[in-house]
Amino acid sequence: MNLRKRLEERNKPLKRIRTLIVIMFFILGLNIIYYVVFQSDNLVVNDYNPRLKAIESSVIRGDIVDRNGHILATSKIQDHQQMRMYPYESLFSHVIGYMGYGKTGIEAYSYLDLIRTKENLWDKFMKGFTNDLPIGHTVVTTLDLELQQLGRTLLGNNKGAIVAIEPNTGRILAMISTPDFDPNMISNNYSTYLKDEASATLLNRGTQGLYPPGSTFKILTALAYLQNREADNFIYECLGKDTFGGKTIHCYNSAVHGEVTLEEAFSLSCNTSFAHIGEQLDIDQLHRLVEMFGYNQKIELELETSNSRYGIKDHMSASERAETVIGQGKTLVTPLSNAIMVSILANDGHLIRPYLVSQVVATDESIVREHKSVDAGRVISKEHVDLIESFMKKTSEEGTAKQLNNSQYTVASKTGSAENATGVAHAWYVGYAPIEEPKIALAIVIENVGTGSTHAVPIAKALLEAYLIEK
Amino acid sequence: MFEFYVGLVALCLSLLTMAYISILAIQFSLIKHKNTERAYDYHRLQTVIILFFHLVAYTVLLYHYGFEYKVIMIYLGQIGLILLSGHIVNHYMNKTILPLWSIGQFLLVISFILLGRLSINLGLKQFYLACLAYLVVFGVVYLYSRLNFIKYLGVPSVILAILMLVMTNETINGATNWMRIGSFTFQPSEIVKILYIVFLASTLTQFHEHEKLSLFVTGTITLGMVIIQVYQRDLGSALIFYSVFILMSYVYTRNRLYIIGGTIMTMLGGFFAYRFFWHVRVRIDTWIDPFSDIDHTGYQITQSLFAIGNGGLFGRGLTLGLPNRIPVVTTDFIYSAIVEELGLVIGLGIIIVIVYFFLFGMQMIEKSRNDFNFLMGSGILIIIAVQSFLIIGGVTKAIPLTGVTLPFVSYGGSSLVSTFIMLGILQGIKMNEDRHLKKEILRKNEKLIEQMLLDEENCEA
Repeated sequence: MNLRKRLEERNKPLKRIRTLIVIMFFILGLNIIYYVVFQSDNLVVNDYNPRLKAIESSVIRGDIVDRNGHILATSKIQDHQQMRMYPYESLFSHVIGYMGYGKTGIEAYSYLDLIRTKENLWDKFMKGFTNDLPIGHTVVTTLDLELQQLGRTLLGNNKGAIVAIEPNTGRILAMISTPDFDPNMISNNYSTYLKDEASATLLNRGTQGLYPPGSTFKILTALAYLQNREADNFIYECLGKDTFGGKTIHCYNSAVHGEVTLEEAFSLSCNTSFAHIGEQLDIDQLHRLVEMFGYNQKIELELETSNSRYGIKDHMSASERAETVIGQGKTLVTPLSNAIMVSILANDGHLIRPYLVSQVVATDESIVREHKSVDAGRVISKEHVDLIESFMKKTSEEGTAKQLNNSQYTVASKTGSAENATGVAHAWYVGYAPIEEPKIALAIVIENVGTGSTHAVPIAKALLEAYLIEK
Repeated sequence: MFEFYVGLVALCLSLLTMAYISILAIQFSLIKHKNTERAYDYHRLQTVIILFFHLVAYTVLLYHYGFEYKVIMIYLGQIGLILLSGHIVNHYMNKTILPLWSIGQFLLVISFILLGRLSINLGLKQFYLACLAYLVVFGVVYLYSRLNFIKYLGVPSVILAILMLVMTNETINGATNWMRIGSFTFQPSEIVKILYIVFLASTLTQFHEHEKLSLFVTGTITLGMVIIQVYQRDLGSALIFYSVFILMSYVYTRNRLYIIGGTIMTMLGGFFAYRFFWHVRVRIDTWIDPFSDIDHTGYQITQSLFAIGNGGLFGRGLTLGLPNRIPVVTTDFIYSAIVEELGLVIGLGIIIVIVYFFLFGMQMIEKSRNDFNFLMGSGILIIIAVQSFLIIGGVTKAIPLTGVTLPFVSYGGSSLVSTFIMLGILQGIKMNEDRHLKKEILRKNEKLIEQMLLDEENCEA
């Protein structure tokens, strides 16, 4: 009896340690269950996982849809092989991209989400017995099928790009680049595209095409000017051409604008006036402003982007200066970058980051991930935006974009005719509407066709009408 | 077709594991209610389950290796080892702690299967090492049950332990805890663990009148050994020694202050190490967010998690996963490979089986009447539990990763032999106690007979 009591007393601590060990191993088990059952889908689908190939073939890749649920890319099983299909063929070739022959566009960006699945325990259990493959998440984009279709039709056989952004959210509504290609047939035609360097079919001109900005750059020049001076004090006598540091600057078609205010110089896109502004401008200030608007910076987007280039150093000759401020010279811009510029103006000076993927949705319709608009802060003061806005309004009413003048909505515009090595100018249009509550910001470029007024403005008109009136 | 068969095998293995665990549960409750004989009747069934498990898994491996002659021989050899060792245990070990032997066998078979799958040569080597381990263990059992002077060997064993620690001269996987003699390398820390337990149990029982002093002396020596191991970057072993000392001093003094103090010390020590040792800091940072440096410091743990996440309920199926892409998969990360190919059920099964090892061991140790044996047994059980916890928790990101082996499962002679020695000591303790009990009963009986004879004489007189 005595012995038993002594042993019991002695064993007490060990019994407590036993409890501790049982609890700790229990937690260990829960942790493993957590990883295997609940975290598996998120965890395993990772670029660093050597099992990715195997996982990929055990899942039916999810769909990519536009903002209204139209299917832009889907997968089907054919002869035990997964096929990726693009119902709209070439319409979204650059932005959705393709897969099978490498991956590009959203297909590359959302690659992991498209093969992630959400299965409950029962599904997982049944997976062992049936041949049904689970379906990956659906990726919902911000794109608008109808706008994209219209834009594509309007570009026709021209080379060029259209980027449309919803300014207050940053949603990219349309991104068109021509010439385009059919991603369903990419493996047949890939080498042909690669050889034809002149067409650069595979290049997404919207994000990677670098064009001289032409007169669309005058928005930035005017903003830089306004930072130090009053708009009212400006007056200039345009004679159709003038010489700056030995370089003769012409107005387009050598048009003579006569005596102009800043507003008139802007809306008529008078080159000599702006070259004159350039002489008075603090060039460092312009440099800073231009970088605030995203030049020389990486634009964060779901797709590959090129940096818009503004490569002027402090000591600039008078001729270089004159060329730069009217958007010629060494400056190069992407249509996306220009679209962002006007959507900053539409947002009263705030940069709202553009994006393409708004949601990732599981097959049970639960939202896996959602993109929220990011306000990256103020770029320019509201006061200056208002002034430029009034100039841009005037442009749409009486200036180079007067075709847009209408009674239903107001438009802020700037056109451009960017001279380049080929001789025929690239036609530019940038703008947003309606001014009171902007719903869409546009950047349009058409290569080697002539002036923005004649070639880009009609496209803008059709797009704005379709987007603003019919809705 | 092959994939379908492998799927069936995976299901079958999971069911067998569940059956095996159910038997352990039944045995545990039977022994608890002192129905030991009936509990041991289940031992044969356990062995049948283990053999069936082994067979089912090896059909896949045989196919995988194209029915190579070598694989067949390894399979037969392993069956031979299971049967022969089972027979010896059954007939020469007084049928004492059969569940512990069975658990060892079960885990060893999983090790045979997994290592054979990773590389057939590893499977073969592990088989040889297991044969060696069994040879050693029977020797240990025999010696431990008969030699009564082990409890006086505290000082020599600690000297030997420290010597072995200091004489490590080989760095493998970043830790300098290997000893090379010619072409033969082994990990002294595996043997040092056992010497350390002998030292601790011996010192604490020898000087039990001077409780505080003996704890101070053993504590100082423990601290020294921990520092040596931290210096050698063998953080796993350092943690094992440290926690074993804390838990043992609690078992010895029955004073909860030691646990509380130990926990506080752990926090302080952890904080200190985090601040001043960059390799400790890297481990902890990696543990918190391994994905931020997935190429470099986070590589091991993320690869392990990829494998585990890939497992699912019944695993990818034997030979169908990619366990060879997990770093250090044969030793430290073998558990991740098991979960990937054999699944969550078997993964959890291993955890439960290890807990049962502790429970059965405690059931036996509790009855020990000899304090030295009691402390030895407690120490061994604590070491096996702590070590398993460290490595399973480490590879599943429950705790920071420290490289130690999974007892009975990881590849390697040092680990296997030392684990089996610990199992042998547990068996030895039981046999040693039984011998003393028998002697005592005999002595009592003799006394009784003497008394009777005396009484008779008195009567006659």
